[in-house]
Order: sequence, then C-alpha cells, then structure tokens
Amino acid sequence: MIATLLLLWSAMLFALFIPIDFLLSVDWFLFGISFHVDFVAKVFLLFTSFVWLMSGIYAVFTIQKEQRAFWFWFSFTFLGNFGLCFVSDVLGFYFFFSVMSFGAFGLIIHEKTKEAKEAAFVYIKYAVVGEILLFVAIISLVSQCGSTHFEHISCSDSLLTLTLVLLAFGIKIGVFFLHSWLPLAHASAPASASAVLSGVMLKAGILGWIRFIPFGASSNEIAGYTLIVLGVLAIYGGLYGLTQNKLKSLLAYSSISQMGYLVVLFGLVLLDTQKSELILYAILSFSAHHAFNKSALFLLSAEINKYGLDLKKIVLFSFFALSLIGLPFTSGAIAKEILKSGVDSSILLTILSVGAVVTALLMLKFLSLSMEIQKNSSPLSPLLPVFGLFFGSLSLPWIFESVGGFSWMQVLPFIIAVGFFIFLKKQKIKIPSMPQGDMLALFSFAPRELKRAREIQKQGGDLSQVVEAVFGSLERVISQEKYIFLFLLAYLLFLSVLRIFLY
Amino acid sequence: MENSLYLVALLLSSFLPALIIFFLDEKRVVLRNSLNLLGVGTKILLVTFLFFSLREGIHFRLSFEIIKGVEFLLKVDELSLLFAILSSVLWLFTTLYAIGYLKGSKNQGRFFGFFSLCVTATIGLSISGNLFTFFLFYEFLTLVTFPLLLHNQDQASKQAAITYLKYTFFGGAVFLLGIVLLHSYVGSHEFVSGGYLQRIQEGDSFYLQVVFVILLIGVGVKAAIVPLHGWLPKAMAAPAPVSALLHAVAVVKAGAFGVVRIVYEVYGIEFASTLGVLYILMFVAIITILYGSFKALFQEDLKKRLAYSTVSQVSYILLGISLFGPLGTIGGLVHLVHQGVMKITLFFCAGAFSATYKITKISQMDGLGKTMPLASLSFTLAALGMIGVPPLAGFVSKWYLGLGALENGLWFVLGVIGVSALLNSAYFLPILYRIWFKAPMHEKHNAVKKFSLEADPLLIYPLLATALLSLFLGVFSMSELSPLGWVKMLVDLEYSR
Repeated sequence: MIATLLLLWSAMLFALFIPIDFLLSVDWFLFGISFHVDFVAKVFLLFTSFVWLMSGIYAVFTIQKEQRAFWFWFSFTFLGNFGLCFVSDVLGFYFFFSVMSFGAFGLIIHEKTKEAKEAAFVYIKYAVVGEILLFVAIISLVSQCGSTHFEHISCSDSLLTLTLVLLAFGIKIGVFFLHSWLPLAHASAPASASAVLSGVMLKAGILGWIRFIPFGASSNEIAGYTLIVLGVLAIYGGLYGLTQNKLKSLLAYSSISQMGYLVVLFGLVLLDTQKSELILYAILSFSAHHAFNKSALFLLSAEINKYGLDLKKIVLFSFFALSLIGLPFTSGAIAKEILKSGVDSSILLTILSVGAVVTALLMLKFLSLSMEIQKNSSPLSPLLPVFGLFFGSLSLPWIFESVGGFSWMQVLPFIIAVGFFIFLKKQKIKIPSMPQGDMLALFSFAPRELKRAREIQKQGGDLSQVVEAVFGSLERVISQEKYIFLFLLAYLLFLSVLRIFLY
Repeated sequence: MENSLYLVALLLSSFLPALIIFFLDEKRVVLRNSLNLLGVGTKILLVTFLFFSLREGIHFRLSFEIIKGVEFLLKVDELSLLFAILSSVLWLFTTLYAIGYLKGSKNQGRFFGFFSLCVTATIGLSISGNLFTFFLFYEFLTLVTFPLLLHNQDQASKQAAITYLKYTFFGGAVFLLGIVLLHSYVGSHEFVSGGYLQRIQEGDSFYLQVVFVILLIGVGVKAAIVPLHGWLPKAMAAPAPVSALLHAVAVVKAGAFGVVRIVYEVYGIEFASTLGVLYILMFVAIITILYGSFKALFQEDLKKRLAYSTVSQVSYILLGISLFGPLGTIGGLVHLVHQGVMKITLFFCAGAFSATYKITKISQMDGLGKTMPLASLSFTLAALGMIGVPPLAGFVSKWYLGLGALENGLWFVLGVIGVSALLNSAYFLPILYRIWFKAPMHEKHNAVKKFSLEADPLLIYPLLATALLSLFLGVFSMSELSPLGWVKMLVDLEYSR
C-alpha cells in the first residue's frame, strides 16, 4: 500500500516536472522502445497521474479485504497506463497497453461477487479481442512503414489497417456497438478502480487513436462518416443509462455518451484535415475535463451509496454534475466551448446540445436515486481525494486559459432536462428498469434458452413443447426490451436526417 | 575430416554416461547423478566451444563412406548449433528436474540411460550433414524414446508407446522412401545453405514436388502435423520430464528440424518457392495450428491440453518456414528455440503440480497461486508467452511471423495468427484465472510459509530457470548472443545466394 502510494506520488511529481521534449530510449528492451514527452503526452501524464493518485488515496480508506491483491493490481495497471502516455513507438505502446488491459481484470474482479466475476469475464473477452486486433494492426503498420516509431507511422493508405486501429481502441473507448463490457465492468469494480477505469483508462484508447492515426495527415471519408454516426449513436448509451437503478452503472453509461463527442471529433478529423490542430486541442481539453469530473463522481457515488446524501455531498455532487453537463464557468462549459471553436459544424452542435440534455437527465436521475438511500453519519476522510479532484476541476479553466462567457445555449439543455424530469414526476411516469450491459443481455439470452430447450427435450417433452417454450420466452424478452428497439428505430430515423444535413 | 574429434566427443558426452548407467546398480544414486551431470557439463562446454569457434570461422567435419555414394557425415554449421545449444541447455534443466521428480521411484537406471541416449540422438540429428545421416539418428531417436514412454509400465503408457511406434515407424519408412527417391535422382549431397537441388535446375519439377510431399510426411509424423499427430496427446502418459523433453526438444522438434533442413538445405528456399511446395507446407501448417488450438480448448487434463497446444505451436515453425522471405524464416527458426523453452516450462510446472499435490486435471488447479507461488508464476509467464504477450519470447516469434506474412502480402496468414492467439488465450487464460483468483479447493493445501520452498527444490529451480529464460529471450532479444541474433545471421546465409 505504501509502496503504491509512493509510486503514484513520484509519478505525479514526474508528470509535473518533466520538461516537454524529454527523450529516452531503452534499446535493450525487446526491439528497443523509446519515450518522448510532447504536448499531448504532457497533458495525458498530468491528468492520468493526478486521477490515479486521488483514487489511490480513496482506496486507502475503503479497500478492506484482500488488500495485497488490490494494491498489486492497482500498481500494475497504473504502470501500464502511465507508460503508454509518453511512449513514442508502437511496440512500447502495445506493451504498456497490454499491461493495463490485463491488470484491469484484477481490479474489476476484486470484489469476487458473482456480478464482479461475470463483469470481469466479459471484460477480458473484449480486452483480448482488442489486444489481438491491435497486434494485427501494428504488424500491418510496421510492415507498411518499416519502422515502429510514431513519427513514421502513417496508416492512411489502407482502409483495412485504419479499421483495425479504430476497432482495437474502439473497444477500450466504448464506441457504440463495442461498449457492452463497459457498464458491467465499471459498475462492479471497487469505486477507486472504477474511477480510474472510467476517468482515465477510457482515454488510453483515445490516445491510441491520436498516436496511430496521424493527425491531419490522413483523411478517409468512409471511416470519417462511420465514426460520426457511431459517435451520435453513443447518445443511446446515455438514454439507456436512464433505465439503470445503480448509481455506478448510471455513471458508466454516461461515460459512453460522453466519449461519443470525442468519437465524432475523430470522424471530423478524418473528413477534414485542415483543422486538426484545433481539434486535437479540443480533444485534449475535453479528455482532461471528463477525467476529473467523472472520476470524482464515481468516488462520490460510492460514498453516497454507503452513507446517503448530506449537505457536503450535495454541494460536491452538484459541482461535478453541473461541470459534466457544461453549465457556464465550469470546466465542462470551457471544454465544450473549445470543441465548438474547433469545429463549426451543425452536427456537433446538435449532438452537444442533445448530449447535454441527456447528461442532465442522467444526473437528475442520479440525484433522485441517491435521495432514496438512507442517511448515516459519514466519515470525512474518504472525501479528501474528492476535494482534490474538486480543486483540479476548478482550476481547469485557468489551465485552458479561458474563463468563458455566459450564454443561454449552455443553460438551455439543463432547463429542458429539469422541465422534462419534473413533468415525468408529475405524471408519475416511471422509467422502466432494464438489465445492465444492454446488448449483451440479448446475446446471453439465446444460449440460455437453447439450454432450456434441451432440458425440456431431455425430460421427454415433444418438439412442439420446445418450440412453444422458446418462442414464449422470446416474446417475453421482446416485450421487456421493446424500449431498446424503439430507441434503435428512432436513431435510424435520426441518422437519415443526419445524412441530409451532411450533403 | 577437420577437428573430427570434437564431434565424436560431443556425441560421446551423453552416450558414455548412458552406457555406464545401464550397468550401474540401481542403488548407486549419487554416482549415477554425478555421471549424468558430468555428461551434461561436458556437452554444454563443448557446444559453447563450438559456438565460439564457428564464429571465428573454424569448421568441424567428420565423414566416411558407408556404401558407394552414401556417406556418413557429421558437420557443424549455424543451424546445427541452434538446435544443439537448445537441446544441451534444456537437457541440463531436464536432468536436474528428473532427479527431483523420480526421487525414490523404481527403474531409475533404465530411465536415465535411455534419457541420455535420447539426447545423443538429438545432438546427432543436429550435427548430421546429409539426409542419410539424419535418417539414422532419426530412427535411433524413435528406438530410444520408446522405453521412456513405457517407463510407468501401466496400461496407458503401454498403449501410448505402441501407438507411438506405429506412427513413427510408418513415418520412418516413408522418410526413407523419400530419401531413396531423391538419391536415385540426384545422388546424395550434404546439406548446403541455399539448397543443393537448386543447382540442378533442369529437374523434373513434378517428381521433386512428389518427393517433397513424401519427405514431409516422413518428418511430419514427428512434427505432429495434422493428421499425423495422433500419437502426441497419448504420449503424455509418460512421466513429466519425458513429456517435457519430448515436446520441447527431442521428438517433436526433430521433425520440425527435419523440415527446416529439407526446405532450406536440400531444396533451397528459393527453389522450393518456385516449385510451389511452400504452399503445401503453409496449408498443412495452418490446418495444424487451428486444429491443435481448437482441440486444446476441450481438454480437461492439463497435460493433454498442453499436448494439443504443442501440436499447434510447433506448426508455427513450419508456417514460418513456408513464408518466403527473411522475416518469416526468422520467425519460424526463432520459434524453434522459443517454443522449446516455454513448453518445457509448462510441462515442468504440470509435473510439479502432479508430484506435489497429485493435480492432473485443470479443475483441480484452483488457488495454486497461493500454495505453489513460484511454480504458478513460471506457468503464468510461459502461458502468456505462448499467447504472445510482450515482452515474452512468444511475442518475438509472432512478431516476425506476422511481418513475414505481410512481406508476402498474405493477409489471411496474419488472420490465422490472430485467430490462433485468440484460441491460445481461450485455453490458457481460464487456467491462469483458476490459479490466481480462485480459493484453494482443499484445506490441506495450505499457503506456503515465508522463506520455505513449496516443493522439492530440484523441481522448482529448473522450472524457474526456464521461465526466466523465456522472459529474457524476449526482453533481450536484440542482444547479439540471443537466438534471434543467431537466427538473423543464419538467415543471411540462406538468402545470400
């Protein structure tokens, strides 16, 4: 425990004081890997080590069982995540990325409950597939470019390679259709682990995209449009999150929709290489903003779950929630302003406003859920790291060197959401609750039913009984999950409207 | 006949101990073990000496004519050393391990005698200078591994040994047929980098293609290519040190090494590529890789799962050979070494588990991380290496194989490597999960006390050493003395003409 904290602390100091353009090459390791701190790396190092340090402090107060195992996996995963921030060749990136991915398994499964185990198994399946896709992508990149260094990597020529890179990191980011592991994993890990999982490790995938897809050098229409569409679809994650009854899975779904913005930005970069500098800056600032606020919310959610809401927590919560929604003068507003200044596109504006409404709804649901939890007197010390993140989030506007102005467009989504929420409450319309891991729930359904059918057959039932049983349960599921299908339908409509926008 | 004495000494260093051990009394444990270790030490010294001499350009050669046109020829080249170093180093670890594993059991004299003979055969294979000599040692290997497989003398091992004999005699006969066909066509020549058939350009290509397939079947039995792999999963009835040696250097590798010799030094890689026989090899390799990995998924028995994993992993070597171009060759040849080191670790661990806690099934492996931490750690390293996680040895092999595939524009081969890696993780990761994340099943399996070893030190130290070796082979792969460096030099020779 102490060793881990020392490690985190020294990493924090390293991140703070490492000069830009720091170079280091480790030739004896594998085929030789090298480190280079550029602007992107510096930003990632800073928020990564800060959030890890805060989560580590929180873990000191909260992790009681199997401490040794927890701290081992915590440091292991951290080393992977820290290393990949400033490594400057594909080989090293792959190495650190694998360390992080495998380490996260140990964190997710830590509680050893049935739920945690299931989540960890789902996670590791996704992670291994991602690793292998990445390996194939890297081989094809190196084969085409003849070098492992990021400077020489340009995979724009081949759509196949680009797709591989997008998929491999897309799994980690939780791009729509690859996201199903995310709510499960983030909700079952201990809070200090989900804070880093959701706050920082998702961004490792973003960093992967930044490093592997040469910014501004490549353009690819098909990939660009696909990314935009997927980014828009990510709002589905937010909407589905409304049906959750666990605080943490609510937050996890919110992460999916927030990552959607970044996915759209990447799509725009692939379409139009002119503004890549600005977009890169936008991506970085949004990542930092989301890292601070989301991890703080995860830590808070664990505290609220245990001790209920009191005044301190309400104040803290509303600060982070409002930042996430993007109300004026918060880090969220600034980050979104930078996004908007980077790209003047109508799609992004629409998504940002729709997304803000959804986020606001999620936060309101979070609040109403947490009000139901019984209040207990709570110790103050676990809130310490949350305060740390509070100051971090508070100081972000100064770091971005813009305080931003007030505009009604920033407040409007929040007001709409509040209105809508009050309307729902007044009309006593209940949001249905649905299983975690949306699409996976559907996938796991089929094998379960097949097994049941086989059992019926074994007991001597004839075929018609089997068919009846299977179809009966299929009907049940469809009626249960009809909202999913409705959402999907609505999105298809939305997509067709989007096409008109674009052409 | 340059420096021929060294070659004889190399063979005798394991042959003589074997002979003496056969006539020793069963109870003279200390003498037997020291004889064995003396042999191992001599062999390693000799091999190291050969290694550095060859770098200086000194040649070693021994030949005499048996019948007209057929020579018995021993010589040392870069390829032989690759295999000789691998087998003598792994022999050292296996001997130590076997001493620990068989402590107090019956018939040890017989075991160690044949064990040393087995190593003599592998060393002989590595320094054979032509196909005929290769064949002699190849058959010798068959004969001396038979008693080893039979060592337990129970029903399972009898069946295993008989199956093994059926398969390998069939393979041997076919191999001989191929050699005779080739001899009658071009005569016997010694192995030459770049191949000797290449010089006979006006050859009847169909004839040579058929001969290639016959030779491939001949050596393929030992290399356990599908559908000739049937003996290998059965052979796991033998004691753990035997399986370890069988899977890592002795039998399986003898087959793979035969393919290397045939493709690079008989046909010549460029000639083989123009003949189109590389595609046959690639097809066989891909089928074997996928089939082996797939079958491994369904094995409940730990050693059986490892055996199917060998089936698949050895074909990586063949896949690398079948990819024309230096990168693929590097991947294939370096995997010859890497697979050996990783697989021997896995079998050592399996043996340690069964010797200490009688664990043979995967379902019994729960919580081993607490009861046998060092062995579990080694198992984990080797298994992750097999999957291809950096910076372990297996990653280096797969890296070059992948690059070699794309060098030829063969995307689907890269896909096969990916799918196989997926299957590898599907059958190794659940084991690792059981070891590290589940609670021990039995109460008697207490956690180890601090500063005390979990099992017999002679079981633990060798497996720890090979596990670390498989880590270092990856981490320091760029060093000049690493197998990768050696293989790179070798590949320059094969492609230089």
